[in-house]
Amino acid sequence: MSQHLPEVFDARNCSVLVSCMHGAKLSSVMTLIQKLKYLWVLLPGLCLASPAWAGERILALAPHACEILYAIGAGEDVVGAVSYCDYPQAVLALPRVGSYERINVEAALALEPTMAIVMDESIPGASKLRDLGVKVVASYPRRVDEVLTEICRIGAETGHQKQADALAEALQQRLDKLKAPPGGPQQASVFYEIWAEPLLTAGKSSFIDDVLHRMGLRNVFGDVALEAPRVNVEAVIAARPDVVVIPSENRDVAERQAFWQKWLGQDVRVIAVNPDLMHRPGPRLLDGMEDLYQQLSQGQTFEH
Amino acid sequence: MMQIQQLSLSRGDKRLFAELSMQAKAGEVVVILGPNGAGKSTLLLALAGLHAADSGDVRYHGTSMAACSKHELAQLIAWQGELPPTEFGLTVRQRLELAANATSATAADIDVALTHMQLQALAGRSLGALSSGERQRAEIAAVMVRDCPVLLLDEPTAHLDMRHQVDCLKLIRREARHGRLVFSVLHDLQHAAAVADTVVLLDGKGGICVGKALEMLTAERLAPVFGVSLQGSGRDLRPLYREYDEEA
Amino acid sequence: MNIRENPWLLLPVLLAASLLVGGLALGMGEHWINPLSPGDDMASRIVWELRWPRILTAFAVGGLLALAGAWFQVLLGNPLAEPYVLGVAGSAAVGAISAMALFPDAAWVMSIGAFIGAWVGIAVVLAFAHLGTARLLLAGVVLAAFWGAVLMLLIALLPERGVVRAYAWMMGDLSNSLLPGWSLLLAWAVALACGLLLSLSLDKLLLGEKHAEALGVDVYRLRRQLLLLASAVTAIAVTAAGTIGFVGLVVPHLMRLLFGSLHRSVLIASAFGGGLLLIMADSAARMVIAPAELPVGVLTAMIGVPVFLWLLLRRTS
Repeated sequence: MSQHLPEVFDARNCSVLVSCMHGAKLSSVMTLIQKLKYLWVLLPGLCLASPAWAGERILALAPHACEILYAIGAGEDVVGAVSYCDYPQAVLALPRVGSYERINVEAALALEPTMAIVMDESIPGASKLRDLGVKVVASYPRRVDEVLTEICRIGAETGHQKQADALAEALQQRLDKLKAPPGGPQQASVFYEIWAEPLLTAGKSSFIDDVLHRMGLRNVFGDVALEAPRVNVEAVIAARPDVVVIPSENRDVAERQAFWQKWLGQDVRVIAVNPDLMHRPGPRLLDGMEDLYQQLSQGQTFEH
Repeated sequence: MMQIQQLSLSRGDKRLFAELSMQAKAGEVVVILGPNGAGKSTLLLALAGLHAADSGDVRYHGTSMAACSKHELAQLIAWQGELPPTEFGLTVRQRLELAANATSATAADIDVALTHMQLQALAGRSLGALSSGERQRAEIAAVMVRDCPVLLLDEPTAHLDMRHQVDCLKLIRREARHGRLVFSVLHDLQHAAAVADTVVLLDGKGGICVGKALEMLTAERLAPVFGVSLQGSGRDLRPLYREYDEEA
Repeated sequence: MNIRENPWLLLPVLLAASLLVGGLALGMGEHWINPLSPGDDMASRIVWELRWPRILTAFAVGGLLALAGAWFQVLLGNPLAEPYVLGVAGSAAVGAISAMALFPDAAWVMSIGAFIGAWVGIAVVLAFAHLGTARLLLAGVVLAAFWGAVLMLLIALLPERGVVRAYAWMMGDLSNSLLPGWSLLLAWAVALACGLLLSLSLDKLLLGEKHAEALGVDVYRLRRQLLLLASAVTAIAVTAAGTIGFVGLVVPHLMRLLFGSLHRSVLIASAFGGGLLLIMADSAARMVIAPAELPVGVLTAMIGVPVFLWLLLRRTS
């Protein structure tokens, strides 16, 4: 059926039509809207027919998706983002259509997207977008390896496979380097202080646990079967970490350092990291991991 | 000696009656009669200082009750009204102890009251575990314990079986004989006739009539107020139940 | 002397048990060497700087919540009333989370925000104090719904990691009280003393407002005093530990079932019983999934509900 449609009927052209019709009679506008609705149903057919179509209009509905798209050269195609999408700089100018867990469907549709990348397909609005003909791609890397495979997959979906594969390859190489110890045994045990009050850390199933694991570090609460377990100071003392890692946002690092040195002894190292790099399963994860690696290896060896 | 001077009362937005003036002395039983909603209970509340009057004054031995503190009023007046709530599980004895505490009644007084209302066996039970009649007896016992010169009773015979109704009416007479002033709202004309010295009749349309019991308890006076046919007079005054059958 | 007649005997046992459980296994010996005097070694610092403050906070907060619950139940003549019924917890949470959003760098602003928020909530409720009991309760419930909506708005606007913190605060947290344990204990003692001074009037209020007034109670004044006292106590508890549900609802009832309805016993028993329940719940919260912790509010309900239902069944049969 799609071959009967002239190619000019892509979403952008439709909107031009609509704006031309503002002065027309209501009945004819209604008819047009009905026709347009019909076209919406056909659009995915058009998209699927040419996956690498340069005219793809993408909603990046998660911060990491945003970063991946720009990193693989698909930034031009991104038409909308959600709150906390803040990298790279160009993203800040994009219109927002809600948060990563709740999409404003009308605002999203106003951008005439052809594709939406979401964290989770079950969030409110995602299925509506799909019903209205937008291709919905779910991307939620929960492990370091999945970050790389997701980059490749998003590349394939958006027609930027080549750049995506190259990026994944480069990241993989950087990742492999982190495994090699920079000068001594690196099996430090780490307490990762996600939050100070209350004290939250990363558990077994968390992304951060995998990040630490991939760097050859031991997460002292890595055997707690919760994503973000609440712990107390005593439990941390009992776990005897060599290093306390603190995401620097909203935290007085010097105060936390004094606090942990009081309880864990003067030998404990307190390292601040950037949570946007460490917690976000996007291409900058390696920057964050390398930074932590660097800080760890600065003239330090760890004993058990 | 209680003086009610030009007392006007409202409940919510509704004016109940205006300018009631009367006197009552110690040892007297004043029965308040009237249809539902006429303001009988509100009158008792106003006499107890629990309801603010629109205008007028209530004086006891020359002292305006509006000038008395809650504590002073509690020494003077014992009020029996609706059954108290039972959610929090007070026992009968605790109920009486709270009443006794407002005056200087003793544990012996409580035992006397319990015995008089045949509540000894129920003394340790919680109010919620009693029947309405038993709770009503507890309320009457609570008034007895108070030992106040003025008793205000709002339908004291409600919920009671025949025997306790009779006991209650005897009690009213006895308290009056002991020099207390008793105001009581009653619905049963025979009960009224059994105890009343004075009757206050509220007609429910703002009209008030105060008079000696014998003069007030007649078919001519009461029938139009209550809208029923009455026969007999004094202690034999009673409604005509078979009116419609006989007409047919 | 047996436990039934003197449940206070449980207090030292529970205190000892709570001191002994924690992330680190400290031997009995370490406690017996310095059970009451601070030393310099790690074990003694853990006991003195981590466990005692937390136990004191738990005890005082539990007692304050139970007292506030008992007061609100009488004040509103409603057995379902609890400290948060008039929206004080909601406004406190709004205050705490607004403070967190405005000053994300300082942890202690949350407590200050909670305290200010609680008092804003109290001020609004006090404007309704002259209404009858039923309308005061209704106003409170509606206000609670309002604060709940504001709270959801704030959470919707908060950065995602802020939400984690907000939820954790709302589920109750005894480990990070800004108010030191001794000050909470002082508040506990003052609240109990005030409650005992009012206890006879409170008993009379059990008979309903008219009966209480007829028995010489200035009900209008008493209602204002109670509202202020119960709200202030709730504000302190919320400031210290976030919102911990259930203690304030059930402990007063539990104590009425055990000790009768007169307030002299109900208030003393609630002040101690609420504290003990929270110490137990908090100890359990630390142990159940150790080394991780559960929010203490979860445990208060899990311990309190079965006990309460059991007593309820036993008393009715």
